[in-house]
Formats: sequence, structure tokens, C-alpha cells
Amino acid sequence: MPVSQQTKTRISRTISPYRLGFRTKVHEVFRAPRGLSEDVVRLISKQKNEPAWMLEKRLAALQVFYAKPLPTWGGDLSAIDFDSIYYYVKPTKGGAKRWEDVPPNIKKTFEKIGIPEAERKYLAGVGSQFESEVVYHSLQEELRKQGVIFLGMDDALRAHPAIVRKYFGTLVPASDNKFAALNTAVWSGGSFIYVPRGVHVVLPLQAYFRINRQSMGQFERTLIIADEGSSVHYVEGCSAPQYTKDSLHSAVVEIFVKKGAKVQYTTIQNWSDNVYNLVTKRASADQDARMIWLDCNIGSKLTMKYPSIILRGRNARGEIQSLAVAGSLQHQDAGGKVIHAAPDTSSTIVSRSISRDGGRTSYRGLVRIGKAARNATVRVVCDALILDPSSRSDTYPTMIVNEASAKVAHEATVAKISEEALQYLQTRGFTATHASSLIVNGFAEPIVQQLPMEYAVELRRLLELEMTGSVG
Amino acid sequence: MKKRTVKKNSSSLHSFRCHNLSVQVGEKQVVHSVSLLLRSGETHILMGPNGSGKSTLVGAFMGLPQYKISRGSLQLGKMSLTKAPSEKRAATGLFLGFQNPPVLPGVSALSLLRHARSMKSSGIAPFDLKEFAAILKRAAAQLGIDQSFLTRSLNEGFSGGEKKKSEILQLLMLRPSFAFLDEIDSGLDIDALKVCLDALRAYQAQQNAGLLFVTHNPSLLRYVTPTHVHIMIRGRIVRTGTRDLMDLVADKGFAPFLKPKAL
Repeated sequence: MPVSQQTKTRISRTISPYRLGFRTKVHEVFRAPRGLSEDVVRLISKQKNEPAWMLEKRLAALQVFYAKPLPTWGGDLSAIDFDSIYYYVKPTKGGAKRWEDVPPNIKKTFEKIGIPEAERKYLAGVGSQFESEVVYHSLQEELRKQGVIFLGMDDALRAHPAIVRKYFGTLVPASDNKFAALNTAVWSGGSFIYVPRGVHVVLPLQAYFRINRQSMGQFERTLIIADEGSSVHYVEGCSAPQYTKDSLHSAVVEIFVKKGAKVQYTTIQNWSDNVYNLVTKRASADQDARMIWLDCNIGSKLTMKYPSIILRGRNARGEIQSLAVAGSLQHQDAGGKVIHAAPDTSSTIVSRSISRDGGRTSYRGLVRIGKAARNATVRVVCDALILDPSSRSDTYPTMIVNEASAKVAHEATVAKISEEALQYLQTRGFTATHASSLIVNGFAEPIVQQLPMEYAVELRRLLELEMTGSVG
Repeated sequence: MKKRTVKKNSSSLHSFRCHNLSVQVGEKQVVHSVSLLLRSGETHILMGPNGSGKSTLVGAFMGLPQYKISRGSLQLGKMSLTKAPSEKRAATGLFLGFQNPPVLPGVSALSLLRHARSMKSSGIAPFDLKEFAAILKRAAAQLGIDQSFLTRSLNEGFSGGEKKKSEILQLLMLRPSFAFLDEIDSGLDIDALKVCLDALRAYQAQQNAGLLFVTHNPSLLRYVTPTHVHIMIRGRIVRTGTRDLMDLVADKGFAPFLKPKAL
């Protein structure tokens, strides 16, 4: 009897090279009951000993969440069962400042992923979130002395309530979309970064997010403020075990890039393929500021994420570079948004997507040039690579130009890996698998090479592994 | 200069042979019972009018799947390659210079050759990266290929001549024992053709490689000194001889061979 396509898919999933799918046994300190309710929101806030204004924000956001319908565009969200999800799981008593103080099982998890090793080698600071809470946090002493703040978001709310209150939810209000509302209602963890005027954080700061239990909801909240003339590079990574029941990751990230400052936010998203990844990311760039989103989406079941930049000061620049890889049963609906709201602003959106094995990628982008934005320059390039006939790629670009002086360029290409190209490489000694991995890596390289070297090496290896599971 | 003429296992690898080879494209038989013996150091020219099955024959030598061997055998020394996949044939030392190489988006000559180098199974000795870079630079210079060219996507926006040069460059780097060069003279101007053929001649002298040129143009004769010339008509090799045969083609075209098989 021939093997059915379904069985084949199952087999290929079983042997798929997702190496971060292991589970860890953890004795949780506290866990809110399954499902979402006002009680759960109050419980979370109480656990955290929050000020009243934050609880009010949460409760208001919950009503917004209830009121807004599920989006019907983008990916299929209908299978998310909001009642079966755990919205808050506290894995440890509190965040550790020394690696030794992290509970052994959790420590082992992050060691397998390579966190402390990376920190020693090439990072200025590290945050590690396990389920709902940041379990470890560190920052180079030198930077601390210069006034740099790098904390878990909960710690920041306790230590610097005034700054948090001033910025929280001002770029991404709860009313922005259903999942921003959900995050605002149940947020926990995430990073807070403040870089004082003129300070340059040379090495990257990194946060790593780990979901461990089944049906987990992770809702971290990140706020980055780069004061005038400063610079910082923040890198986030994430992974989860493979389960049959789905988990939900719904983060909100707000970034304020002040006059002449520069922020790069790099994501290497490698969730297991039972995770819905529905994230709202937005930055504002003041005069002469520069914001770069470098967004790599390899994992998850469905990602809907469109990092945005509001260029609100003269001569502000924005860049959104993204790479999306969708394999069997995956949908990456990604892209970017740029609003030109000041003169002489420029933006670049480069998107590269690879779909294989029945996977689906979509580029969804919006560029809006407002009336005041004279002499704006926009370049949008989206290239898609489709590896086999069962895979799919779509492009949904929107441009709204209200200013005649704007220079706008848009290119889009779709390439299929041709049988001919694979055969050609085989005559050069490559197996079919190795040949397609060569083509995929070559295609991804313009994005990959902008990553810090250690991440680039890792991502190239990951793409090679992805390919070995997919051909033949 | 022939420091690598005596290779390990050279006794078993000194000839490439096809025996009674018939090749189908789809349902149609294009090559009929062709036999050919190419020995190390020899230079063969396979000539014939367009559509006579020359490209099909060398494509089948290299194992391209659209060319199906319906009968006969291929051998490298004593090793049978009739059923081997292309990559195995490449690994044992065969090379095909394509008439029309496809575009490889995102794959440059540099990355192709660097990855090929790292494969143990490839024909290339795993020499170190520094040496590799030096050899590549030298080979590119020899062929008049600009350095910037090495990092561009292969064949994307290449002129006909650039494609041919890139094929020869790969040959020089991959170091095959036997190479089939399909219509290397098309798309190259005379000066570029000379440069490529000089490089091939030097390579052959150094590695004692066997070369098979496929062409329909007898002017190739001015720059190549063949040991064997084969005339292919309608899927059959109808005559094998020496360069006199090419003179005849240069003079009278393929007409003398188009008559019944009795020739």
C-alpha cells in the first residue's frame, strides 16, 4: 500500500530537525487556572504587587480584547482555544542576578540552548524568560555605571514606575488590535531598556524566551528607550517544546528612538510548530534617528507580525529586513509597516521568504507617506523562493502616498527552485538535499549576513538542517 | 610539470567508455547504440548537425534524468556508472560543461566551489581554504574573469561568453579526469575562445585529463588538436577518424555523411 501524504508528513515531522523541542520538568511556584477572566487578570496583577494604574490598564484592555473580533485577514486563527490556555505560570520565586541562583532544571534548559555561554562570549547583557517570568538577568557592570538600565519589565515597573508609566502603551495602545489588547491585559515579563543620552552599547543585549509547558500563553512586554545620540542592539531568540496542543505567544514591543539615536532590534524566532506567534512591534524615530528591525522567522505554526516604524522627525531613517521560512503546516504572514510623518525621511523594506513542503509565506506591507513628509524615499523589495508545487507564497503590498515629492520604488520577485538548477548542482557533486540547501542559503544570505556573526553561523546551520528534513 | 600524472588508482580510472548506448528523451529514442572510448590525455571532438543527439549523449554521460539510458553501459575504468546518480559521477571524476547552464539564484561560483571543496566525496582534493582562494584567483585571472564575478549569482544576467567561462572555471577547480564540453565555442568570441582553450590545454597537460568537445562548428579545429573525431548523424556515430574528418566537414559540411549508413 502506498504511504499516504498525511503519514509522510507525520514521518517527516517526527524526524524534523527541530532541536529545541525538548521538555523540562519544573516545579512551578504559582499557576493561574486555565482560561481568561477578570479574576485571572486581577490574580496576575496581585501576584506582581502592581500599582493600581497598571491593574486599571489591564482591566480596560481585557474589555477591548472581548469587544474586538478575531482578525479574518492574514492567517487562520479560528483554532485558537482561548479557554484552554494558561495565561500566567510563575516558574521560580524571583529573577536571579547570578546564574548559579537559577533553579537547576531551568538552568539546564538554557544551557542546552547555549545562553550562558553566549553571554560570556559576546553579549553585554542577558535576560532569560521561562514561561511567564524573567528568571535571570544580567548586565555588564561598566554599562550599569554609565546609567544603562536593562531589567525584566516587572522589575522595571517596580524600580522605575514613572518612566514605565510615561511610555507604556503609548506607541501600541490596547485598542490597536485584539492581540495587543490581550497582551496589555495579561502581560508578564519582557525587557526594559533605557540607554542614556550619548551612551553607545557596543555589544548586543540579548533576551531569550522559552515556553516549556503545553497550552502555555506567553505575553511578554518590551519597552526600549534610546535617548538622544545613543545606540543599542537588542537580540531576541525563542523556542519551545513540540506538543500536540497549541501554545500562544503574543508580545508587544514598543521602541522610542530619540533624536540622533540608533536602535537595532534583531529577532530569531524559532518556536516549535505548535505555537501561534501573534506579535505587535512598533518603533518611533525622531529627528536624525535610525531604527532597524531585523526579523527572522523560522519556526511557529502561524506567525502574524509586521514590525512598524513611525518616522516622525526630519531625516529619520527606518529599515525592516525580514526572512521567513515556512515548512510543513507552517504559515509565516510577515512584513512591515512604515509611516513617513516628517520631511526628508527614508525607509527600506526588504523581505525574503522561503516556502517548502506545503508551507506558506505571505508578505504584508504598508508604507504611508503623509502630507508633511516632503522628499521621502521608500524602497520595498520582496523576494520569494518556492521549493515545491505544494508550497505557496503571496504578496500584499500597500502604498499610500499623499506627497508628490516622494520617491517610491517597489520590486517583487518570485523564484521557484528549478529542477534544472538542482540537476546542475548534482553534476557538480552535490546531492539533491545539499543542492537545495545551497540554493536556500544563498537566497537567505543577504539577510543572514546582517546578523551578528555568531547568529549568522547558527542560522545558516539551521537552514541547512531544515533542508535535510525536506527533500527526498 | 606533469607532477600529478601518476595518480593513485590511475590504472582503474584511465578510461571512460560507453558501450552500445541508447538514450531516450521521453518516448523518443534519440541516441542509438553509440560506443566510444575516451582515454586519459586524449582529445575527442564529437561533431554533427543540430539535433543529431550530441547534447543528449553527453547529458546521458553525466546522468541528467531527462536523458534515459534504455540500453548499453557506461564505465569509468572498471566501475559501472550506468545507474549512478549525477553526484556520484561527478565524485568519480566526470564533468559536463553545459551548453546552456541554468540560473542559480543566490548561488555564486565562489559558494558553489567552496562547498564542493568541503565535500569529501568530490573530485577535488580537500586542500586548505587559503590555497583554495589562491588557486581560484589564479584560475579566474587565467580566464580573464573579474573577481566581482565570482560572488554574483551564477548565470544570472551572464552573457553567453561569461557562462562558458564560468563553466571552464568550475572545471579547472573541480579537477575532473574526464570532461565533456558541450558547444563551448558558441557565444564566445575568438579571443575568449582562445583563452578558454589555452586554459583547458594547460589543464589537460597537467592532469592528463580526457576531453570530449561537442560542436557543430569545424572552426574549433583551428585551436584544438584532436586525437579522435566522431561524426554523429541522427543519433548514431557514423564515422570516427582524425582531424582529416574535420577538414572534410569544414570543406563540405555534413552532407557526405547524410547518405545511407554504408559510409
